[in-house]
Amino acid sequence: MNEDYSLSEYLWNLFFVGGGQPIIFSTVEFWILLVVIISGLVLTGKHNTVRVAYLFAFSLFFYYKANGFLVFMMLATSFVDWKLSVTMARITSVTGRKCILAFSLLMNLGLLVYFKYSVFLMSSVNDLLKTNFPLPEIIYPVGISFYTFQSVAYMVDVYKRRTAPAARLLDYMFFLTFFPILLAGPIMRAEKFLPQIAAKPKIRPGMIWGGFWLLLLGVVKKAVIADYIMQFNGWVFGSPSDYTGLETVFAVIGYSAQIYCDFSGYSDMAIGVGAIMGYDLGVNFNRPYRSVNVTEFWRRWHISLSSWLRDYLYIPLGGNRKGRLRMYFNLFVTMLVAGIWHGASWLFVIWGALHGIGLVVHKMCRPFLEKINDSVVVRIAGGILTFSFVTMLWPLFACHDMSCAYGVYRNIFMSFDISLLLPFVEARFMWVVLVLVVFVSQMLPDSLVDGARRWFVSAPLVFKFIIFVVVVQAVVQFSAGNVAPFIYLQF
Amino acid sequence: MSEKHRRKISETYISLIVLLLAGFLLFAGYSFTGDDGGVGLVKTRIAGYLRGTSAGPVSSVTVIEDTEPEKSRENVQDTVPKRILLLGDSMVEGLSKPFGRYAAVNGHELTSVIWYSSSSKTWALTDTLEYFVRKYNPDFVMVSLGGNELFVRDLENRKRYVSDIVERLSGIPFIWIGPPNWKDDTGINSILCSIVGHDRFFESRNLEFERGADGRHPTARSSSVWADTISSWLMNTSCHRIRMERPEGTVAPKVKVIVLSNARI
Repeated sequence: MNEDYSLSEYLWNLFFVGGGQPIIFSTVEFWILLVVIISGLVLTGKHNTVRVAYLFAFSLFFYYKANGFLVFMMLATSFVDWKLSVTMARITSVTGRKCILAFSLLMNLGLLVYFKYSVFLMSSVNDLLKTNFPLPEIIYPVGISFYTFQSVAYMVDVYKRRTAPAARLLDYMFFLTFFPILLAGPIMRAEKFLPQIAAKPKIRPGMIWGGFWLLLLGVVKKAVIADYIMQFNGWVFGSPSDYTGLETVFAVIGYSAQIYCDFSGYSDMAIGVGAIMGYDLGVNFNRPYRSVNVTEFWRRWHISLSSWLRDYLYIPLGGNRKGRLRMYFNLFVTMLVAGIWHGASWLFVIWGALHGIGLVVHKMCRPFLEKINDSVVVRIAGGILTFSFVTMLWPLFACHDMSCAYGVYRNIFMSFDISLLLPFVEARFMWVVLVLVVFVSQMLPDSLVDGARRWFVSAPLVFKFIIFVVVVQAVVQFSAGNVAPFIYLQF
Repeated sequence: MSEKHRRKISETYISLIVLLLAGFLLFAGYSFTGDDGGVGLVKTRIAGYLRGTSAGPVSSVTVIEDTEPEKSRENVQDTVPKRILLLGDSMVEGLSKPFGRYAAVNGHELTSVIWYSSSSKTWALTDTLEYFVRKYNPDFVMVSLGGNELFVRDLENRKRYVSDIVERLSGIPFIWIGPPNWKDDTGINSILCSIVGHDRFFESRNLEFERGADGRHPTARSSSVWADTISSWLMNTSCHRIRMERPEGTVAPKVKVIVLSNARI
């Protein structure tokens, strides 16, 4: 359902209208800008400062498109943080450094709480105390959860002297606002990313083509698979009572595939664009649905967030160093925070709490599980159990309120009819195929996946072009009329 | 970085730019050779995965021979149960179940064909319509198209496409459900009304809808109310009045659903 503008209206909207219009990587607008950005990189050549400034300018433009004039708030807070970090690194007084860190955390987390949780907190107070306080009307800055965690990690690392502060304000602002990771991560660590920014980039042609391969892979995951699958899932989660138990089960499984493709697809695109620019942004998803237990799932799913939570919450709480009961408590609290981080809703809190319970149960059972022979059958059983657990909790993500979540679970357990399976598959054959493709691809051997990437990187340009055309055509064939926003942009 | 290495990187970037520009020119070129001209950046005439269909210019489409006598457009309700074919774009996804309940209560046999992202152009330039009419032999057709054409500028072409679809449905009583506008359209509703006829065209644009997360598709609940409104009009006002008594209580929908993969033409 494209809105056709005249060319002048289109260009005006693209370059000058900001706020509420994030540039999605799978859109034509982004690809036009990518050509412009890469052309500039060729011209900046060996001048690293010019290169960084050039990419920073584009990052500010991307931020402006998503959040309008809140770009100035982001610039102001990042300037304050950088100044504080430089001061904190210089002074030796422990109290002084603690005060600076506390101030920075209060500022960053305070803004996050204000923008993201004010309405939720106020409406919860109203519900609890039967009051009628007016709910504030707040414009939510896209990406605030991600770059807030990134700046918190930076300040803590500087405080603990794990990393030196960014030498230049430009470097820090680039670190925080680099456009591929700005809106939905991965959450980068200063010790890994700042040195790449400060030094001349160590780019190789293989890195550029490897990045382009990841970018195309991400486009397929998001714009071909996720956007197609969601067309059915969205109807079921919109009104579960209108659908059968079997349709609901399929929608839940489909959502499992959708959220993976949506989020890992975005990550692939972000990491791929970063690689094209010459920056290594790590790995954010490592085929999580092949996990055989919940602990492994969280080492494969949204790795930048789970490692952040481990390093800046779980370990400071004591980790596993203060006895078993304290470890279980720390795990539970960490996952509770993970849930809250995802969204201002009791559903996310419950989701996080249940994952916390899952992790605790796994830790409790570990002594017994380690005695079981690690055979293929055991791994398959573990995989099915883990997948079922994770998938059954996704409705808490997908549903807009408690009654929807209740409707979903009631459908699954109270009105499931297997006889509807064949008619469903017949009606939605392509949907079923795409969902299966997602899960089968999780089980492919690493050698095959790496081999495909290596082949693409070394293939002649004409083959790369053919694959590019095939991907774009697939997007055209399978995409919905309008581009669906990334699920994780709402976080 | 040595000069040689820097040159190699620049060459790689230039290759990437050439690849992207070549792709852009290829797809833009297809758009310029399309029926509607203009700048359509990612349109292509390559037909998608469809059962028994092929793309072709409008003028070469074969009109279906009448196999049943044309029903006269009288103000008489036809109480005979019908074989109804409901076809169209993604809006049909929301209408299928409520109309399925109407089918269950009124004894009709309903088949829904949902072609995401389709438009009058898609249905006119392929033989998908003929395929499903041949397969299910309906004696009543409900078309739901227009939602993907709210902002089109090639209105003359759209008139041709809509006329073509109407012509291909000659001999079969049909209605056309207009799109549930979320913004003012550029003229598709007027075109539909003028070509289809006000007694066969249900105008939805001024109705109030509760929208889903995309801000466009009515929610399932809202689609149900939409179906109620359409059914009431169909039974009492349209020129092809069929039995559409409102279902009471919980009624399981009786509908066969077919979803076609998206295709852009």
